[in-house]
Amino acid sequence: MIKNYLKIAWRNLIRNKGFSLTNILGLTIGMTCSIFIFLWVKDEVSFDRFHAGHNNIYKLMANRDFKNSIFTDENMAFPLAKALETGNPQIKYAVMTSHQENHLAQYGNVKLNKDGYQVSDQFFKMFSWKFIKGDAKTSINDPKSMVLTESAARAFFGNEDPINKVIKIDNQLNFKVSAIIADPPGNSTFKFDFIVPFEYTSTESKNRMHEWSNSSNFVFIEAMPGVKQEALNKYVNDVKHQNDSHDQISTYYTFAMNKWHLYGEFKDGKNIGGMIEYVRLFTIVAIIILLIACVNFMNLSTARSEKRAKEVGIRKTLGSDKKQLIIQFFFESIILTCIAFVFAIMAVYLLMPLFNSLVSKNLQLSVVEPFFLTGMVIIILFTGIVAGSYPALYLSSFNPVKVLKGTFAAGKSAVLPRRILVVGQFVMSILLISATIIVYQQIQHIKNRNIGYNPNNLMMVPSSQETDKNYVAIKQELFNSGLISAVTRTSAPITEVGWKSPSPDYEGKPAGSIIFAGLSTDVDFTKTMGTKVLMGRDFNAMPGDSGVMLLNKAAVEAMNLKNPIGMQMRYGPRKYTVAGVIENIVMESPYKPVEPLMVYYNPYGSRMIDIRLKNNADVKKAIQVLRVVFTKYNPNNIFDFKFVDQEFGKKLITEELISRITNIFAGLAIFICCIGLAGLASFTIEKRFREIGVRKVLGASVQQLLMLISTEFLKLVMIAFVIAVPLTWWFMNDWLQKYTYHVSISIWMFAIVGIIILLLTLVVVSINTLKAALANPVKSLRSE
Amino acid sequence: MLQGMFQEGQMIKITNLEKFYRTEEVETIALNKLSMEVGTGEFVAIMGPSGCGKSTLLNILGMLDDPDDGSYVFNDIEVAHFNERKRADLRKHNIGFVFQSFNLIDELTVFENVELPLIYTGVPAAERVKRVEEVLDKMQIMHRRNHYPQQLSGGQQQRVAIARAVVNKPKLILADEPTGNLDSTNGNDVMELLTDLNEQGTTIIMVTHSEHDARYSHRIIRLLDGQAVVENIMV
Repeated sequence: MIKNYLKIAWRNLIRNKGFSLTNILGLTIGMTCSIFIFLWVKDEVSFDRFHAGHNNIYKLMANRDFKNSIFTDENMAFPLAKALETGNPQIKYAVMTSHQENHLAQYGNVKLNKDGYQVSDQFFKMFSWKFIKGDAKTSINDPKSMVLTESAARAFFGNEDPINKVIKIDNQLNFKVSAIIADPPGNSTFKFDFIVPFEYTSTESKNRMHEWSNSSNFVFIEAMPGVKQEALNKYVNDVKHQNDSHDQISTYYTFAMNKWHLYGEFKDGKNIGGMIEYVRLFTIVAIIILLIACVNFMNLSTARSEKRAKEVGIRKTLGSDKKQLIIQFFFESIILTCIAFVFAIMAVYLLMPLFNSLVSKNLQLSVVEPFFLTGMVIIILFTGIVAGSYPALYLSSFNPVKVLKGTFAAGKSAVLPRRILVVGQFVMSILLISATIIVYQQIQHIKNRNIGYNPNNLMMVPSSQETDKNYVAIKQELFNSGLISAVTRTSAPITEVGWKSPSPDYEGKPAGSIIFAGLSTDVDFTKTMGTKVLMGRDFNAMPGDSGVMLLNKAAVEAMNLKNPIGMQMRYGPRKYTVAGVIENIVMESPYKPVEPLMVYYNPYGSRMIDIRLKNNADVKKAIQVLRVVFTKYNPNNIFDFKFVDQEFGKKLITEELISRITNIFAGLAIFICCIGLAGLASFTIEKRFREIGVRKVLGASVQQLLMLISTEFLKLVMIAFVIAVPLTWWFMNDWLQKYTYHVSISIWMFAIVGIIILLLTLVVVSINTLKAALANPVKSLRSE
Repeated sequence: MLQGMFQEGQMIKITNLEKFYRTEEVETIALNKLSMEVGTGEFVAIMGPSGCGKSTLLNILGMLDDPDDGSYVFNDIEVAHFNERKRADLRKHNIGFVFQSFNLIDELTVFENVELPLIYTGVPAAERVKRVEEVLDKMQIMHRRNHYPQQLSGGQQQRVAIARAVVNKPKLILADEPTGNLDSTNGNDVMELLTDLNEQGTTIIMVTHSEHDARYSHRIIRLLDGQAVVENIMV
């Protein structure tokens, strides 16, 4: 029986080449998209799961409740990890790490900038890194030891054995390589080239072990299995407050490792998701695209049902019951799906490098993995059964008497469901296209937002002790090149906030503190950044500058100051006078309002030298000049520079990625829709071939004939449009609400999408109709 | 009541059979309280003008359609109100069909077309090959076994259709104008084949417009407006 099903399914595919190709093409595209999306989703949800203890590992977080906002802080006090570790059987390990830091590392003549963490002693017990050489337990026992990743080791030592080799960091400290681990995988939150232990024995460290109010390190804990998160949260708060009774505004909590990547965003102290939204969104998109392809199959199968009706009649007469026919038709859809799946797998292999560069990942498809095998079965069965269900039920219900007698008017009862399916397809396509446009508009909107400074023609070079020493000379030589218009120094790159703290004290300050971002700079800050001074003045290199402060507009508003210029502020042990008010500079997320900022004068604590190029300066030449100058005055470091506009652009990476992906998938969805439409149109024409001939004989023009056939489809597209507009509005408005600065959805956008879709339908249907409309009517009349 | 000629066994007994066709405006009576019997081993021809209910009767006898009222006893089983599955089951073991337009499946070869009823009755593969070859041989189309229906002449296609109808050794063959699409030579060949089958014991009921073909039967039942009006017994 099965052999018979296979045979007839195969011969049907071969015989109806147009039908088969249309469906296989649609299903192949649909499944290719789905496989890519599922691979992406799989990678996203697999983040950090390679750590054996991932179910019990937590990062410590604090909600610091300021008057103007709740600030979610990952920075913890230096002694906290050690305090948590001692005396609680629920805690397996507690680990502290530094932020990821970029350092100059040197071995012999090889100098490289490498990223690394300082970690406390249990780091390699809590996290599961793959050791290639050396021992996880003892690798950082020696405070001067260093663990390197495989690729970093290769970069320094080539094929030499790296163990016990000495690497110099920042021209100061020597570390001995004790172990080599595999590079952190792509789905790791931690990314680094080297790990070195914290130094607890130095006088400085010993002092820091009593410093509970400064927070600048990350703390992780691994709980014993089965320990409730609430219990951990309470314990962390208790420990912190026992040791630091001054901290009244912070609530501590644990953030589970399984959520780090997907739920990484916090707003007003609450977790608001993050990548998970896109994981969900794209899973839905994958299913939608697959469904659109399935609908093609349903429509084309039922549209050509006359051809199958006779077979159904005969089989029923010969003793087949309905169930056997249903199974037979499912067989056909599953065979078609399997063929399409094979093509899809080939397409995935071919397009994988392209997709990887699109999503900046290193995804791979391994056909022997259980994930792939189960995924394959699920995709084939889902597609085969969804696509085959309606045709199987519809075709198997034919009445053999009517069919064989020829009184059967096939397709009539299927016309309405088919129309509904076409409308559904177009609703989904219009939704995807409109969503794509709205995402694009939103990104443009953010890009065009006034960010308070001019990031173009602005470069940053990292500072060092040498650049601090030689700053005046560097500045002079840069100006001498004639390419540079201003230079300053900042305590952090202008694209990030270096630190946050409670506001300075001032007269009339209400109870409760406001959170401020802090920045220290050199003279010419506003000139270099291209920031407007709204009131007062910038620093002017007078000796008095060390006692003055600039505020941004948001700070003046948050502090509710009427006449800020000349006001006295106390910050820590020092007094400052407000000298100027500047424009709000977007340093953090371009999607959020700018927080209050205080800028004070301290040229020596700088991390970046900021260089404003003249508007017409040749950028290549400027880089050359910078290279010469910095190599001369900063010889022990590698010359490194960044363009501020590019750094700022990185803030939009996720949204741009989303925009690119939705572009492609919306395009493919509409393409699958169109090939389905083309198939359906050609069936309609086949059915009305004689009618077209008769009309032509009676004097219908080609345009009239094209309209005759097209109207049927245009009506459906218009219905789809009417349904899709409110749906899109509803979905996308919800998405936009997440951004404080967002576009509003315009009715014109819908109008344009509508016109594009209508034109597309007209073109697709007309191309198919044209042949029939141009054919000699004698031929069509004879074909009866 | 029309009595069957061969009284050793009664295969079909229908009593007061009614069938209506309804559209929105009109109701047409296809069978009007029709009663008749057919004995095992009989060869009966049903004749009558277009629209007299011949095909409706054949469809009901073949269990492809159900009557609106009345009784249909097939081999002592009342089947008038059987559901589709039960009818399909009874049909595939007992009845073979021959159509005017052959109704072969275009995607299957001659061999596969003939094999199909055996597949539906669950005959094992080896046994199927044997029986299909046997019947193709008997119908003298063995040499065409791997051809597709479109590659055959009308006469050859009808031979395949008859081969398919008899391969399951049915007790009853229902033939709906079996020579309607054939020239007279091929038509006569087909009638000879049916006569042979009948002589070997198969009951045959044939709908026909052709007085010539009807003469091959034992008995002619003439229908008019859904009722049997005349019965001719052939000698």
